[in-house]
Amino acid sequence: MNIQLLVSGISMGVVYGLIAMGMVLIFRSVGIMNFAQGEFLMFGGYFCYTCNQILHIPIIPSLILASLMMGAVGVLFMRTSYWPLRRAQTKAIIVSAMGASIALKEGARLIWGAIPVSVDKVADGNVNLSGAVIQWQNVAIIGIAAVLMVLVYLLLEKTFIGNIMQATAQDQYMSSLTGVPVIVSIGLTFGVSAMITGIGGGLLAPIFFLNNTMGTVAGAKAFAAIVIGGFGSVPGAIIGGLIVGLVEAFGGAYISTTYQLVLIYVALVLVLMVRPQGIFGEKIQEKA
Amino acid sequence: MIIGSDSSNDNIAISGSVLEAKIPTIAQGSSPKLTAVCDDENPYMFQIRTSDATLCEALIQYAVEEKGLKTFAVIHDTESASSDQARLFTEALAKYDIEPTVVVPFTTGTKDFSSHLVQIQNTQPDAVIAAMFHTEAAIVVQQMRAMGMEMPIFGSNAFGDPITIGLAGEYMNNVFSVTGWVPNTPNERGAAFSKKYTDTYGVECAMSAAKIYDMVYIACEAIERAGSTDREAVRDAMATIDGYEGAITIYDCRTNGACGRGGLVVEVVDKVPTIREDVYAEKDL
Repeated sequence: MNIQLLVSGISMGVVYGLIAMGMVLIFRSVGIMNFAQGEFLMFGGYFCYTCNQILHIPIIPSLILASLMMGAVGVLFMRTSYWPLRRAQTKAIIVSAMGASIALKEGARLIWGAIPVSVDKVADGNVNLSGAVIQWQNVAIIGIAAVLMVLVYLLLEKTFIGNIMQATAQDQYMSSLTGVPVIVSIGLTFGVSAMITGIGGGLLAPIFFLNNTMGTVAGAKAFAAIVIGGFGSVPGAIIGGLIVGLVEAFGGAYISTTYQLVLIYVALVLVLMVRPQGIFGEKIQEKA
Repeated sequence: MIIGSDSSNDNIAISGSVLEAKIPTIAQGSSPKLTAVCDDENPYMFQIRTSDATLCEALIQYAVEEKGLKTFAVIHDTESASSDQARLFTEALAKYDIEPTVVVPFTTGTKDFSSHLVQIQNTQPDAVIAAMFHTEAAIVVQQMRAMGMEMPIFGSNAFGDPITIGLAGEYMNNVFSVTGWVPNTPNERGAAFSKKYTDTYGVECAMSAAKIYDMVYIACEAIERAGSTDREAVRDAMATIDGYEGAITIYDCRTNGACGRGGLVVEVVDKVPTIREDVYAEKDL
């Protein structure tokens, strides 16, 4: 039983980590938590469905195409929900993101309908791990998520574009003074964030099925992962996601299946009480 | 006339407004709570669907008497209709002196059921009783089979619906459901409607469409009997409808609640809901 829970917890934790990583990229770029990130997951899944089930494109190219489409959605989201309000108060931008989340949800229902749908699996069948059973699709999710995490790391740390994105994240004003096209950099960040989250939607669709509300709870858990892992930390987002996945699995089995989300947030509160900056977050102290 | 929401809770919520406005309203829900509202509190609200009380008892009777199963675990959504169904299933089991080996609730929107299913797996029941909506039903079936849990599943109407079968596909074998409707219904009127629906839209006719079909025609029947669209006349005419043969079942609206009287116990075999038993209960006036 414990091995099954461990495997399931890690599998789900990787998904939450992927969504959380997308949220962290945006947070680092513009200092705002994107509450529409769950809807990026959902929309990416639906784009994958369109390519795979309606246009009959094989699943791997469908995932790639869906990711590229989500990149465009991310840029469009930035231009409509963030950029016009970039000089406004933070709460205005947060409300804008929340509004965009509702618009994306209802837009998905208008476009694709309310009936849940699915896409082809990347890998079929199950594998037995010391008595625990994991679907090959879950293994694929873990593998692809790991690859994406490495790619994001390489992008941010080893490429010129990544350096620009990091510079913009650290100080938009100074970056603009040095000639960095800030709007392009921020657009890239939103695009990359939407792309990696969107792929997650396409990978989850065959096992969790797509409907327009699937992103809401996932987004809430990803937010918990960010807080636990430390705001602004990409490794923290990943570790936070794993912690959320394991709390969900073990807490559900040993404490309560009904209150899994409550248990996740109890864990969040406990972490904040012990380490307010999160596991990988930096402690910020102000001089009196 | 109003054709109300698919949700029993929504209809219970609007009952006060319906009574105040005195508009005959067809409520689509199947909860016994809605039956009580329609029978005892609101003469303008009619519950057209067969009550879950009838259907859940029929499914348990089939599981125990026909399939000879002795131990059951229960998994259910915590939203109101599914919780009610789980309670009805448990009460039906109690009539055979059977207590569930474990009852595992979950909140709507749950995606990973590992925690829930390992608890069920530990008690090694003969079968699993499930009450939930389509998406969760398909996920639970898929994850159960992936974990090697091959025991039969006895589920609420969502488990016999084309939506769930379409999602879970080949995993749906050995799944039983009690439902009012299957696309391959033996009901002559229902079969004609199902064929026309498929020819028109290219997909199998799900219960939601068949329900609306019957409800609209019952509303028309009431208006025809009333000879006008006067609300009071239509309401009174609704109460005279007895033995009306719809696409799904036979309807008796002499009392407002649970007008639908029949259902089907089905087993999903190679993605086809195959009828195992007809359910019919006369109205106890």
